Parts: sequence; structure tokens; C-alpha cells
Amino acid sequence: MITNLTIKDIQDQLKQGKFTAIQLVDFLIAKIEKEDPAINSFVYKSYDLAREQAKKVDEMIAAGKELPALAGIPCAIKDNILIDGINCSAGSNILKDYIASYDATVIQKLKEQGAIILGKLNLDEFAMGSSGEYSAFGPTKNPKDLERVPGGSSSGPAAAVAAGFCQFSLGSDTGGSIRQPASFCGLVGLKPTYGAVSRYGLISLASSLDQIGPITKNVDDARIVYQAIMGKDPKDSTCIGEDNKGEVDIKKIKIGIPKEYFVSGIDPEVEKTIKATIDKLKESGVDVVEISLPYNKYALACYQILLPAEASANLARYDNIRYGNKELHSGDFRESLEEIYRYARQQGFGPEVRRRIMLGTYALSAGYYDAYYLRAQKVRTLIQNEFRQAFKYVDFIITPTCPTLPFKLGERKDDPVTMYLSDLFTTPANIAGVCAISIPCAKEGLPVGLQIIGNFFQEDKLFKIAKIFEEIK
Amino acid sequence: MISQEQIKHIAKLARIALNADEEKQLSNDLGKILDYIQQLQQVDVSNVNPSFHAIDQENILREDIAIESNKQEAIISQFPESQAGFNKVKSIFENNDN
Repeated sequence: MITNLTIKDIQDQLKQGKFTAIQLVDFLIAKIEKEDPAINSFVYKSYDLAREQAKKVDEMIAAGKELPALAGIPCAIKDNILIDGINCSAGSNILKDYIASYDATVIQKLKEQGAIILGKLNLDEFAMGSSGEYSAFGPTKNPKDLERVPGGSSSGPAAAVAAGFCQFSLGSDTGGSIRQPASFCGLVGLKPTYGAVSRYGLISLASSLDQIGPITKNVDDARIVYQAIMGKDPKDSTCIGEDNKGEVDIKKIKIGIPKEYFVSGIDPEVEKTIKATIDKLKESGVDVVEISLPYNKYALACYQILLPAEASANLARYDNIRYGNKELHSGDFRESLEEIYRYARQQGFGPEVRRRIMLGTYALSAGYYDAYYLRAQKVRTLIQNEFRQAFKYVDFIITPTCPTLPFKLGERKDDPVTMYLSDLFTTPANIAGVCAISIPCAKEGLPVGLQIIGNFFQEDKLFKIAKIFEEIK
Repeated sequence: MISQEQIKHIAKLARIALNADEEKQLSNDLGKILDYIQQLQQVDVSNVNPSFHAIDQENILREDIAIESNKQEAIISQFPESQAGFNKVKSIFENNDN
């Protein structure tokens, strides 16, 4: 019913009366019920909320009212973003019984814009992972090939859009968690500039890196959703919501290709596809130049310190005392309150989350702070400066989104260091704070994502260039 | 490499119980990750200031105004253990009279 439609098409057809919002919702509910058991993208369904929202949209259309930007558009939300009255697990056993008591700012905005929310989507536990396999709800499968992972940590958000269960989804990106799964599922995924979208109501992983962003089927949809969710928010002091507009003239722009991104470790198939796309751009008259970003190669190591350190502090709040998982509560059997915490956190967190909490605790502990955390923050300055310098010379930087093709389920699950390499090309944008989008560029075979990195708060121009690339390829 | 003794100490700081197998596995995994991170030692960071955030930030202050909330029920119902609307937890002060 909506497989090949854009947000604009759906709204046009709703207005023309080709189908009603409630018919659209019922169609998608039936599709999810039939097809999702094989994919496992949803962890909670909010069909009552969806039907209620659809009814309102149909009433607006019947009354001939002007429709807001997302009216009647079906979506689903990564299960680390709070929706009032609906479960929010972050993919973790420790939040199995938690029901959110308020809306995240992005959810409030989606509701105001008339979007229809079908449910909450699977993820790697607390958004830590690159394959969707580290979820207490079991792995999500890639709809393009059920033997392969959809990427992570926004595994459900990418899979649900790729499977046609919803028109768009919201994910969160701390080190690539929107762009890498978008790349693996042949979709468009945006990590906004740090401070563009409010994090209020997002379960924090690493507060200096996290951003919420859209996963969609095309660039126009991503732009519409981004416009709806971005903007200053008094509830998140880090959200300044700058929105710079600018024109993009294909004949005048300069694109930088960092030579450090085409060295060993990149899959030949990925390299071939990206190079073919770059050749196409050159043929279209785009000025493409080689640049060097020598500190970018340290971004992943930097991230391996900053993320666990911030996560260990953020996840300290999960003590299973005020909310969480009632089955893990062991009040009467333990000698002390501390023992109650220790048991709930042992049983409630999965191995990857425990690994990162332990590493972060170690890196912040007395005697190690300067050697690890402080040093990583200094290297971060060098990476930021390097991007600022590069953007004086080029308008955009393009790279592969991920060094590999979507890998098979189980292939990397037990080797954390290999798993982390998936984030090699996506972490620099988080460390620096700049915006980046992944767009699909493989003509056949498994999906390959092209990453376009833009300067701080240049999302408007990023969408314009991404749209041009989408048409060229 | 992180010794199993160190792992025990970190687990205590992080309030996570671990069994012997988990301790061993973590000592091995953390060692591997720390080996990878060692590359940061090659970078010359003398005279470089740390960046704790991606963008320049300033404090945002606002009036401290009380607002109505009718969420008590929703919040209390989530306590793993409650009594008369209170969250019940194990006592944390020792009784020195005994």
C-alpha cells in the first residue's frame, strides 16, 4: 500500500480520499502481525494510540483542515525514546516493567505534527552495539536478507522501515547507530549536529555524543521528519537548535574524500561501489578533491573511552529501586541494599552493557582518569579542529558509511573488538559533533551506504546535496 | 591486561555482582579493548585543551517554579516494593545500640 510512496505522496492520497488514515493503519497492523515475527523489529505495539491518532487525522481531512507536516504518516520509535504511558525497555531486562510517565520532546513534536505511532522498536541493549544482536528481546533480522544483521544499534528502526511496516522511524546515533543500520538496510539515515535535536526523553547512553534522528526511504522524507523534530528546547540545555539555510550549486561545490578512509580493512565490494559513485559524481561535474584527516583514525579509540565512561555514569541510575524489573527485586533475601543493587545489575544487564560499564568505571577510576578519559578528550579537540579546517576548504566530506557489507548473524557477536570496527567511519562525526547522513548507493547485491558529512548545523545543505546524489546514482 | 583482582575492585565500584567465569571473561575482554585504545598514547596532546562537549555551551538558568504533576500513581506503581505509597528499601544505617 505505501511501499513506494513518499510522505508527500501519502498525504496527497489521503487528501484525495484514495485511502483513509485508519485504513492505512489497519493495513500496516495486519502486515506487522503477519511479517514481523520473522524479522523481530517491534518490541511493543501501540495500536490503540495509532488508531486514535489516525481517527483525528481523518476528522481533520473530513473538515477540510490544513494538514500539519506529518499528519497521517505512520512511524515507529526506537525503544530508548519515551512515549507517555507506553513501555520503554531500552532493549534491557533491567527495564522490563518500566512504563514511561512522559513524552520525549521529539514525541511531543511528532504528535503535534499528526504522525501516527505504531510502536516501539528493537535495539541493542541501551543502544550499545552494531548488529542488533545485543538485545534482551532477541536479534532483529535484516529484511533484505534474513540471515544477515540489520546493523545497530537502531536495528528495529532500520528493519521496520525496510520491511515497509512504517514510513519512517526515529533512531538514536551515538557512534553510528542511525547511519550504519540505514546503510545495512538500504535506507537514508541522518545523525544531526550535536545540539540540533532535543535529547529530553531519550534514555542517555553517552550524553556528549547522543543525537536522535530519522531513518527513511528517501532524502525528502528525512528532511521533512528532521524539520519536525529539530529546534531549541528549554528541557535540554545542550539543544540550541540552530538551523542554517543555504543553497547548493553542484557546479560550485567542492567535495573532499579523506584518503585515510580508503586503507586496509575496507571490504573490496564496499570500496568498489563507493568509488563508482565518486566517479559518477565527477562525471556530473562535481569538483572532488582528496583531503587528509590524519587524526580521524583515532576517533574510534577515543570513542572506546568516552562512550563507556559516560555510559557508566548514565547507567548508574539503574538500581531497580524506583522502577525496572519486579522479578529481579530481591529485597528480603539480601543482607544489604548494595547487595540488592549488585544482583539486579548482574541479572538485568547483558554482557555487552556490563563490559562497557566496567571499562568506563575503570577509565574514570582514581589513577587512570588522566591517562584515558582526559587524553581522549584532548584527542577529541584535535579531531574537531581537523574537521573545522577541512570545512574551510571543502563543502562536504564523503566516505563509506561502514567498512563492511551487512554481516551474518552470529559472525561477530562474541568478539567485541571486531564488532567495534563497524563504527570506524561513523564515530568521527559524533566525536566532532558535525552532521552526517548515509544514503544507499549500491545498484545491486547487498546494500552499501555512502556517508556525507557536513559542517555544524548545515543539515539544510546536507539534504540538498544528498538529494542531488540520490538522483545522480 | 587487567587482573582478576582489579576486575573485582571495578565491579564493586560499578555495583555489579560477577561470578568467577564472568570475572575471567571480563579480564580478557577489557584487556583486548585496552590494547586497542593504547594507540591514543601515540598522539602528541601537549598544549591541547580537552573538549568535553561537541559545541560551546553556556549555563542556561531558569526560574524555579513548581508545576502541578498528577503522575504519583503511575510512578509509585513502578516501585518494585512499596508500602502505603512509600518506596520500601532495605535500611542503610546500622543500629549501633545492639
